[in-house]
Amino acid sequence: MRRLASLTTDQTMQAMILAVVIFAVALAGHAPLWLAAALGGILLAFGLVLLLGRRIDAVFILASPVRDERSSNVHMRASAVTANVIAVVIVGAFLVELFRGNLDPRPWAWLGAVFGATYIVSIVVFSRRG
Amino acid sequence: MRNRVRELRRAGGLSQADLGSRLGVSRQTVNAIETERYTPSLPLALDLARFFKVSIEHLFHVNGSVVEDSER
Repeated sequence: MRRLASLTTDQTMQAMILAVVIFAVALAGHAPLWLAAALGGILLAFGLVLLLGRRIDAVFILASPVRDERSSNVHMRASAVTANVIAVVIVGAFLVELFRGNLDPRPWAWLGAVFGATYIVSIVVFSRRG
Repeated sequence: MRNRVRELRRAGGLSQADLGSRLGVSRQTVNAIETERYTPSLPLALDLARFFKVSIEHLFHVNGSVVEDSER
């Protein structure tokens, strides 16, 4: 029972549930069966890697909720790198659309605005908290 | 940061998982500390020192220099 409880709360079970949801939503959206299966299959495979690869440190951290200071630290650093990469992608895509003459650069402009506003607010909040 | 965690853990007959559960951290975190891939926070370093009943200076040392622990 304890093992089942830990499975239901960690990323493995979440990935598997999401795989089923994506498969169902894709089919409901009239996507071809092969596409729905591929999309669901990718997440299913990810869930299996998380379940079976826990001896690997990185997989263990990915698969489990934040357990201690080190996993929290790793998650925070990974989030920072991810945010930086996404920022570059958003700005790059925005510039590409402008270069192509697309005067309506949505959704990149909106994404960039949300990204920037969130970052500024976060800096304000966390600087006040110490 | 170099440390004596592995030495003291083995002397106490503990596995990494045992030590981790006693301190509220994962086995992987204990391993990362022992292999010097991770420097613990001050609270965790204090917990480690208290657990092994040694001073922090005896447990951790900077730049490879072992601090003489005259109190021990």
